[in-house]
Amino acid sequence: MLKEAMNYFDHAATSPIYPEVLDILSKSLREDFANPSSQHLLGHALKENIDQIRMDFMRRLKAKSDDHFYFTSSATESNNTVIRGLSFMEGDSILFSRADHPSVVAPIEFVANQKKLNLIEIPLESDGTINLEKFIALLDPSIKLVALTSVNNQSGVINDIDSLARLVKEKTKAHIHLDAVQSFGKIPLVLNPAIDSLSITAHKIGGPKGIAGLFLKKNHAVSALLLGGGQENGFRSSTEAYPLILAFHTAMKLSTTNLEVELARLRLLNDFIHSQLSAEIPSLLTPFKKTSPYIFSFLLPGISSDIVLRHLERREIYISSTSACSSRKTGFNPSLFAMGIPEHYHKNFLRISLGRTSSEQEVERLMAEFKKVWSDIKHLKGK
Amino acid sequence: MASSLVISIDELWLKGRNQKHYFKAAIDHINAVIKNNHSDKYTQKVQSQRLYYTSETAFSEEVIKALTFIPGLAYISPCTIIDRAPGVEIENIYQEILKELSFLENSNKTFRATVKRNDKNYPLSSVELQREIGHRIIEKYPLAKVELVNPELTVEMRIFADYATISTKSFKGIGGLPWGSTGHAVTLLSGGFDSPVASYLMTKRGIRQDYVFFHAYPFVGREVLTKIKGLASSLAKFQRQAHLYIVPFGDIQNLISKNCKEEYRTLFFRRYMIEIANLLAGRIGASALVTGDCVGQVSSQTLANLHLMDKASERIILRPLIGYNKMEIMHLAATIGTHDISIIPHDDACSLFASKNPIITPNQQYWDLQSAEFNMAAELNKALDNVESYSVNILGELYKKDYFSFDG
Repeated sequence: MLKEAMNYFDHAATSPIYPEVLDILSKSLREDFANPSSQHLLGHALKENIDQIRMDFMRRLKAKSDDHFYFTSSATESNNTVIRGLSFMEGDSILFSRADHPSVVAPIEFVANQKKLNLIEIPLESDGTINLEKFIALLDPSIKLVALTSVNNQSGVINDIDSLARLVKEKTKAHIHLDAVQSFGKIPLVLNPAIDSLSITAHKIGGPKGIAGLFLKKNHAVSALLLGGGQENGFRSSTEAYPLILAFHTAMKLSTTNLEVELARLRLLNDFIHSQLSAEIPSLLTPFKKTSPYIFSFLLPGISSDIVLRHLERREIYISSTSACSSRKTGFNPSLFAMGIPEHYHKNFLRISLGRTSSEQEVERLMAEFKKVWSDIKHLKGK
Repeated sequence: MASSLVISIDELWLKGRNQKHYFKAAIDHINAVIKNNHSDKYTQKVQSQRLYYTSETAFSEEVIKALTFIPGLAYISPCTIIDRAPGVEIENIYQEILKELSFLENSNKTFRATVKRNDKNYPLSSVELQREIGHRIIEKYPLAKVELVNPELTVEMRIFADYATISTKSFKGIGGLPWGSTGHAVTLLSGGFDSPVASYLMTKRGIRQDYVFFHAYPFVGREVLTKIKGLASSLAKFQRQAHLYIVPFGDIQNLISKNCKEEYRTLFFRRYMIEIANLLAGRIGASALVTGDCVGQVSSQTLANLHLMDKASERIILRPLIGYNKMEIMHLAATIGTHDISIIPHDDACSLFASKNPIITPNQQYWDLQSAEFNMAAELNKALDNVESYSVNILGELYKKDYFSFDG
């Protein structure tokens, strides 16, 4: 839960846990300690609950009853399971984007290297969106996997998954994998029947870390990554983390309640941030179009974004420079590069990301403090 | 027979009446190193100004290597001790030597035998003994050759009243004076190549040091601290213990930048670093500062600028690298193991604030006027009060202190 004095604007990295979810989680950790695979009544009861929860996830995703939904430990595991679990032949191709999360890009580069596959990059416009015409032109039968992301975690750009998936299936028999981490529970999501697999996670929507999900269409050709006790129908061995699954489910229900109202509220906050910052800093650049209301990303030419980030953190305001997974490396950022952001701007990238707890007062404080910080350090611009 | 180390102390002859003090400092340091690197019991004795360490289990290469980094030690030689109780003949000693040298079988190494008799009553002279040992070695290992100047191997025997020692290997220590025997200083670490080398050189002269790093947070991140901690850890092999003080300095830098002429920024940064280092030295009872300054390397290191720093410092500033060339510093850094840490790139606020035309010949009047105007005392003490501190043990492990106590 958030401390009152803290202002948190890094919801795309992770979100504070809902108090209700925390209560349910701690109660369940205390009471539901049994192993769901045990043959006694305690285990059976939990197993049945897990299957009920699984069905609810599938219902909400509009999946068919003979499709699959597995619980995993993280979206990284879900993405790896699909990418490393598909069988490829030498010379097969993968269509993907380096703008996407490392948990997609790294396993793709790994299998491509291991199995001598061709990597084809999805062409992006300078505003971070996918160029449909060029995308169509790249589609050919050698493509065995197309990795898509519904909302880019850095730019916030929302991709038109329905159109892309349809186009892919018209021209290829490729497996379509969708990383829906930044959209699930945030933006209304209807599973396009063309999607073969999809990753979601709890901690971006007010749930705990350590629990995530993987949807797989029936008759999928993905083999399991973890072998062992045969849990999750043999697809994902590991003792089922019942309390986490329950907490994930609760967070999902809470985050999808009144989603349209929430979206409209955040759109307003996002626009407010945009107009306030642009007015204060004329040199500010907002290169991305068609973005999620949860994410406002921009470039602050002439000043290293980490300096701004650290000045704000001293005021207990937390924003992000690049994705938490790559921000430790300085300078070049492969995602931003893939989005066509020139390298010299990578250190100027900042992301403000919103969530359920983001309030108007919080955003107003952010703007006020941002302005103070800016006036304190703008004399260093251009250094 | 037991596994022993014989250790000779460097520069001890210089010390006259202070010998005892230097000896004790060296012994304490050696004991600390052995205790941390050798799990078995050992005994220690001093004979003819050399230290003998004996243990049932052999001292490992790691122990010996760790000992070579202790300031004040000239040589560390693993040796075998042979009993000379009544009835034990010289023949036994010869046989032991030949056994020790079994690696000479089929080897054409050059060698020489040296003998020192602490027991002057021994019937054969050193020269006679040397000749005999040489003869025996060649007889047993005919491919080996005697070579008196620059041999590949020196077989050294010492004869004491009730035992003899044989050693065939010797490791050179870093020499100098025992740690802590010449004083206590605050060393300004920067993350570059120079300051760790400067620290090493001063440790070698017996100066115990604590480190201070000026952290330009929030203009640079915490990543640089990993590097600074790595340097402090790497330097631990020369010191029995140390402290690392991380002083928040970003706000002071920003304040300076906004209020003085741009070309004077770096000089004022340095001035206040020196002042804080002096305040810290006062709190922990250190009597000098150590910096990696080298004349003319960067613009702040002109004679005029260095002089300003001297004037700003209440304590002597030791600059052991003052006359070194960059390549010499880099080589030393590689030798002492700090090079590979220093070379890791890190965010540096100096380049953020630095002027394109830094001042080389400062105007004294402006300097004095601006210094008075800054009136920085409160800011400096505030920075020091918010210091983050770590203690560094002999193994190079850093422990964060929960609270800051100036207990040195």
